Amino acid sequence: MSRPDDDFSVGDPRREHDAAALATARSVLRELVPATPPPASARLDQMLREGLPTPPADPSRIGAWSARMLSRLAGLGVAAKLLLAAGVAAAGVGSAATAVELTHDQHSKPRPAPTTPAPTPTSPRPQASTDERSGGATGTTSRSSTEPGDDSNRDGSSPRPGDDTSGSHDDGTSSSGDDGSNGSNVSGPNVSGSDDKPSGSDGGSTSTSGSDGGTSGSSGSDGGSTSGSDGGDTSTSGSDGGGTSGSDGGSSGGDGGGSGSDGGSLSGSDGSSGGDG
Amino acid sequence: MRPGADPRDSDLVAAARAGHTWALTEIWQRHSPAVLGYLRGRGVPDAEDMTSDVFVSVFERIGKFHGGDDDLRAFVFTIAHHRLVDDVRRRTRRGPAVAYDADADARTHPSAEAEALDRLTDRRVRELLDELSPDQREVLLLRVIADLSLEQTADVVGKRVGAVKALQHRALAALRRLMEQAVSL
Repeated sequence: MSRPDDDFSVGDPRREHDAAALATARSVLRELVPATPPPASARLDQMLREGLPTPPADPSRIGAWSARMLSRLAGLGVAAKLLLAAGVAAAGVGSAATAVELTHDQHSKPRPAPTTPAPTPTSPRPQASTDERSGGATGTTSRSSTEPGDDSNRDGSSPRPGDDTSGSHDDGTSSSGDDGSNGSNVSGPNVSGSDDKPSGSDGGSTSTSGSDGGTSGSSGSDGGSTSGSDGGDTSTSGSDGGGTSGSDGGSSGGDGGGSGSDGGSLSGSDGSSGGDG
Repeated sequence: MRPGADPRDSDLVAAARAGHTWALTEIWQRHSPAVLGYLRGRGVPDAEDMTSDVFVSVFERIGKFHGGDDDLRAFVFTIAHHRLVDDVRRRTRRGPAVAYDADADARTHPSAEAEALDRLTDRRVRELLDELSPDQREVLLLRVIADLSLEQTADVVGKRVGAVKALQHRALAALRRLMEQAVSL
């Protein structure tokens, strides 16, 4: 039973003496060691029968993730919670408005196209606007000849009283320069035409507001197609409206109609870019 | 699947980690008598219960054990040593023990006669060991009963190997002197 480091027999008489004493101590102390294992306690006996205790199962990932997110949310301050709630509410309102607008567009698709706007005789217009107006006119004629019920026809060619009101309504909200001519052309929107001037400046200034532009954009593009040439006389948004609608109408009526709703939503940003141009 | 008749400690550890209960039983049967003798030599009153507690701790920590065949014994006696130190501290804080009440003791023993004989020999050996200092007794028990090497003993008691050698030498000299006195008497 001696270990390799029990080098007592190397010539040192003291170590030899220790070796003998160690052997004697072994024979004596071995009496303390029983021949059989002692009786196991209840806990150890259960462990010997059932095996090692298994660690508790890990919670599910979703549960852990939700718990972590809740703990983080609980750790936020009041101001942060309010900001978060406001952001969620704004996102919900925006999405709801978008959904309503899309639904409204779908319902208003079979709506008849507005009549062709008469150009404003007072305002001299640049070459681009003339081209745009001519393009819009060609687009109008082609569209009206090919697809009478198309949206592009409705947007680009012939404005109708319903569209006039919508155009004036759109002017008031998004691009007033476009529909300002409409307001002068059509008797109904005169009030809105008078409103277009101040709202034109307002539209330019508030063109960054996404929700407003989104809601009024569809009809704004409608007015833009009709009064794109007209809007160019007054303001940058007018030239933008004419640019967008004129190009769309000139290229393809279907695009113009399709972009009538979409371009309206982007009219605010387009207005700024048009100003750059 | 249980290996041969005398599996190595490393095989037992691997099997215990794999969830084989026979490995736990084998470890218990292989090392518990020495642990019980070590605790008896240190004068623990309830050495058998503490032996079970030591192996419960061993089995709970066996997943973290890393070592070879000789290291499991050192691992077991390291836990036994810490358990003993904790028990001594607890008894020191708790004060004197309560008198033994035989009627309240539900423990059973396999053989009362063998136990009585063991008690006699234990008492004689413990009388010898009580003459040693605690450090000498500790080193001697770990070297003789636990059969640990000098390095392993040094690791268990937290001393250097040279100090363990010196303690062992003095313990053996004292034990020899005591035995010579007992023979002369």
